[in-house]
Amino acid sequence: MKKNHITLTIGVILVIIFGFMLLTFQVRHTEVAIRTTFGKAVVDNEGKADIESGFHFRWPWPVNEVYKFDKRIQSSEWTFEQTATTEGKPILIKVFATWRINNALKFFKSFSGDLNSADEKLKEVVRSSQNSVISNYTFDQIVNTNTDLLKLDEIEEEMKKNASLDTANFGIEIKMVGIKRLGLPASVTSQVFERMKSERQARIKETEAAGEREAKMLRADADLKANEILARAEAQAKVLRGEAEAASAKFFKEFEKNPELANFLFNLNAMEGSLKENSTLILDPNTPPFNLLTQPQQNKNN
Amino acid sequence: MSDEEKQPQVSKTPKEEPQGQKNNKVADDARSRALAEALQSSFKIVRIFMVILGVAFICSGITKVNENEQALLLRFGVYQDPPLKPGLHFAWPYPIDEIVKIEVEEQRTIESNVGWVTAEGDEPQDSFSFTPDYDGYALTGDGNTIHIKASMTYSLPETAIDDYEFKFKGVSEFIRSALDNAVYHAAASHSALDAITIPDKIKEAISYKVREVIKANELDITLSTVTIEAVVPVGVKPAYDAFSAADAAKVKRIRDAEGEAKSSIAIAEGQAKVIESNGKTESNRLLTSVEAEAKSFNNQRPFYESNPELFRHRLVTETMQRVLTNAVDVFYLSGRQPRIWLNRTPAKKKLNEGEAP
Repeated sequence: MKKNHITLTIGVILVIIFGFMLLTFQVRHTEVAIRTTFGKAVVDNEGKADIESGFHFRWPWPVNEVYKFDKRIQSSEWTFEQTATTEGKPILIKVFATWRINNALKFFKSFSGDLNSADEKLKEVVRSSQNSVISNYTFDQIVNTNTDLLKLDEIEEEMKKNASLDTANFGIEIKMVGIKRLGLPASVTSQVFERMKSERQARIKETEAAGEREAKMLRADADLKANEILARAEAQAKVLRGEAEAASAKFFKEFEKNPELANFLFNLNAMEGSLKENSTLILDPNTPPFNLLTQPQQNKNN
Repeated sequence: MSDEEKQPQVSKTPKEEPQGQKNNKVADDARSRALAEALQSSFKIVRIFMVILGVAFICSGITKVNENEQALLLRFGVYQDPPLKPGLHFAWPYPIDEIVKIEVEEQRTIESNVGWVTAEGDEPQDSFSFTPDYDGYALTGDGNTIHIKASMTYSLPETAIDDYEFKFKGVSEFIRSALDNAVYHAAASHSALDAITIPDKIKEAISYKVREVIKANELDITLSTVTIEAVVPVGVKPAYDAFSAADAAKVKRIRDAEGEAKSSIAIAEGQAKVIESNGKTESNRLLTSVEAEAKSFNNQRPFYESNPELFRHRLVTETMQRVLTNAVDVFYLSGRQPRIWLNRTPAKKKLNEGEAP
């Protein structure tokens, strides 16, 4: 009897497990699911059929069928292909898009749940969006050192917006569209190389001239400052001399006591001072003390 | 089949059966018993095996999380916050529980080389033009081209591990795309020269853009470092090298001029000190000499006033003596016989700057 109980218990457990497998399903944290009853999707009051992660009940096939989809953000990228700017300049662009399923039922209806089909459709949509958006912008708005004129962020936002309009009906939400590569056709890049070389040559001349100009300016500034310093020093020296002359005025008053003697002494000093070094003198014979030399001759003649 | 079902049926008495049959029965009974015993022991083994299997199944969820790992527990597919720490953890077997282990590297590295390597993964090649499907390069803000690659290290905050694992399908590919995007944005907004000479500006632009893209996609990672390498195409490198040389020459010329300027200002300041000092000396001398002259004047005045003629004659003679001593040449004209006194020491010739004496 005891043995029968054990067998029965095992049997019941197996039946329960089998029953659970038939009557329940599990949706993983990374998935979203939909359930159909006799092929028709089961929707809630809001019209959504998405079943979030967790443990759920179902009727066994063929009453209920469950379809699960990966609801994680997916990243897709496509080929590096040529398009044209608004002024007709060719440009090569490669974009990537991040997207996720935001309506499992629409996604199921659009692609039968096939991610590859969804990727193909996205490629078509993003490519169309990319071409139409790029054709509205100039080359200078795609590459520019002036960030005010650069519109890359705006271009990406436009591409996302345009693509999102098309993908909304597919149950896909585009999170972002970004540029992954930018380039030019081969024939244009050879011209770019030549331009880069000639630009450098021009910049070399410009740099040399700028260096010369700056060096000259520095020297001129320095000369100016040096002259100013010297001028200030000269002025200071003059001021000091003036002050000394003013201070010596009280001594000049002494000379007024006998101006004749004063003039005589000044003249004498001036004469001695001017003939102090390496002078050549042409003297009249009557100049004292040389008149002593002529005196005896005169006396003889007399 | 139960054990009772497997037991042999012994309902008839031996008296009711012939001897031959009796012997056969005995043999059959022995076989049946042997079979029953064999079956019983087999069932025991099966039972033990089933129990072991059951225990193994129940314990199959027990997971060891290593020190360099973190684990996320899903119960019936629903994530159970927080992540499991290193150690031994009990979990119910799949499909009730599922444990996803993640290696927690301190720093993760992603590289963007789409603007650098060729389609064959080689370093940038010398060519007359770039083949779009082969050469890796980026367009710069001045319409030029450069080769550029960037490497980014990042770490995951503990709170973001579940997002990192569950939110993205191929999270590394997504982060690489974000880095590629940032590299092309940064290149498109800077000149080729800036890209190779001011890499810090490019790095800053890349970091900013990566953060923006990551945020837009609701991923929480901590960006640690961004490194870049940018070079101009091999064919135009000589022109850029020549420019670098010219730029270096410009810097040198300016530095030389700055040196000269500082030097001339310093010299002028020195000269100014000399001039000011001379002015001071001169003023002192003037004052002293005037004072001395006034004193001398006062001393001489009584002598002059007593005999002016003699005084004047004496002073003129003394002065002439000193003057004639210092004079180089003296031409003395005396009637028909002029006499010339020549100084014995000829005047020293003035030397020009740098001239040998």
